[in-house]
Amino acid sequence: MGNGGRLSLDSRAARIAAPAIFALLVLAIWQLYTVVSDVPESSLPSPTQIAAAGWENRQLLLDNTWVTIEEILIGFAAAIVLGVVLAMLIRSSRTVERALYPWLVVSQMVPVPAVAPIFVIWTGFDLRPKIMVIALVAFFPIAVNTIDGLRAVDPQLLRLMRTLRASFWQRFRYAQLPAALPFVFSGLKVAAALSVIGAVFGEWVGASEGLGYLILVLNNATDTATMFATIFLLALIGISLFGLVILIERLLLPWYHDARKESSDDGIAEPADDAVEIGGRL
Amino acid sequence: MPATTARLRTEGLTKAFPARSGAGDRVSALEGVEMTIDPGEFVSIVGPSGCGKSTLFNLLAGLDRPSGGRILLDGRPADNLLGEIGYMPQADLLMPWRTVLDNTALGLQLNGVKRAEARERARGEFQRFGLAGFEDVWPSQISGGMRQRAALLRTFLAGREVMLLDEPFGALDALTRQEMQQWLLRIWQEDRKTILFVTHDVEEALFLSDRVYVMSGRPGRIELCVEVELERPRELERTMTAPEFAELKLKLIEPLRRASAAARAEDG
Ligand SMILES: Nc1ncnc2c1ncn2[C@@H]1O[C@H](COP(=O)(O)OP(=O)(O)OP(=O)(O)O)[C@@H](O)[C@H]1O
Ligand SMILES: [Mg+2]
Repeated sequence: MGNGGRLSLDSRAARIAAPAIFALLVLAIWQLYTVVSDVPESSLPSPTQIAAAGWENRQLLLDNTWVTIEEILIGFAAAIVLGVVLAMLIRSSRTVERALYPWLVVSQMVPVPAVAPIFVIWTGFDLRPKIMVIALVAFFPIAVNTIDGLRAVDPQLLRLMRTLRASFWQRFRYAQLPAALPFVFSGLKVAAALSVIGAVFGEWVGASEGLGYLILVLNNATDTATMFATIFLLALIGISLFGLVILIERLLLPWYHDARKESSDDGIAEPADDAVEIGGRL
Repeated sequence: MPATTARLRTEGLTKAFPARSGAGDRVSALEGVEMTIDPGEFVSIVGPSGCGKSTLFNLLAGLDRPSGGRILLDGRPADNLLGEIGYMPQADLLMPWRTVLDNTALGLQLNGVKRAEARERARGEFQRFGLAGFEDVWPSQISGGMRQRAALLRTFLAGREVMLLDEPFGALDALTRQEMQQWLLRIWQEDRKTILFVTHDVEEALFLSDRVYVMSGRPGRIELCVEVELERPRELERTMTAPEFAELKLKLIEPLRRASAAARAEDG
């Protein structure tokens, strides 16, 4: 790509400014529409009404935000452990792979809202069923991508390492693991978004606090403006978690980031960066 | 043992692969390969594509087991050569997640040298290997010639007496290639390791080597062995324009052409 003369569009500032301007534009149109069409606030509140309602209920929103963040962080961590351990098990032997892989896929056919009540029956109304739901929806992309990643290492490199007297553990530590990490992070990015969805589902089935639970309560009370503010907070949590994953990826894999920046149109093999591709391989 | 003990010797070395289609005959890749490489020698193998050069190297490096015959290292039959011989495969195989310096230090680190010390020892060779100033960049940021030199340095630093270099300059342009040849000779003259070198290029083989083996394919055999008694140190222009050089070239080209034609006929 010729990045010589493409004006300021390629600059860092523009990359932040462009989506911000777009968002402002959407908000302005939204505001305008609610004013001219006089839809009732209970079905579509204006951005300013949402902001006002959010500010008024800030204590309520904040308290419930912490609850949901806690669920998401623990659930996400559980999904990582589950996904990575499953991937390593599956890659450890052909037999295990044959036995487990189909069930991995089947686990995603289970409608999560339908099994969530069962988790509640097993564990009660505390944190545990939410963590289980989050782990169930978020472990899958991590597992699938990690499986691909553990396959990604060049077999020739492993042979070279054997001639350098590398032990099994060294071949894993110095070759297989670093080759797998970009794939793992692709999975983590998708899983971050799914974790938020999982938390909301988990709370809908049985909870007395949290942003998902709050949405149900506000829905009953037809407090639509505060509901929108709640949704906004949920999105913000998702974006933050996603950003955190990207930040850790850049710190941990500087080589990967640099190489991509340089040869973005070289057609080098890259792991899937989005859910669409993961869905595509099933 | 007397100084005449070969550093590396193969006796009737044979390798067959199971047929691709499952049942049926085995594919014979090498048959009765006899070679001798003395300590400190530079020996090349030329042969058409697919004649079994990489297969031979895999056996010598201990990555694969021969189907027959044996390999002697310093006069002793070697059961397990893995890790005994330095090997630089056709692809440079630099790790994209390690800087150039860490890549070259890999062999040391895998053998228990602490990372800091391994890096220091590698750094000490960067000037000689034409890599100075590129210690801390990723391999994707350096040229093809530099990548090959980095891969060579990784092989050198692993410290084995015998090194197998599989077409290290195959992917380089003609000019870079010539520079690399002269540079490699200089390095070899300084260190006096034993080098076994694979190439498709007759001139490259002659310019570098004390001896050249010509291989033919299906199954891979040694067709011809030529001693190269050109004086050292060699210099590109002077050596390549010497009448003896032209003579040797003629001697090699005809059998090589026949081997290539045979290989093509079998492919066709
Ligand atoms: N693992 C294997 N299984 C079956 N056949 C193989 C295997 N490895 C190599 N061969 C066959 O053995 C023959 C020699 O292959 P090899 O890679 O050693 O050739 P080469 O001389 O190194 O070729 P090139 O110059 O192209 O690198 C080829 O016909 C190849 O198809
Ligand atoms: Mg080869």
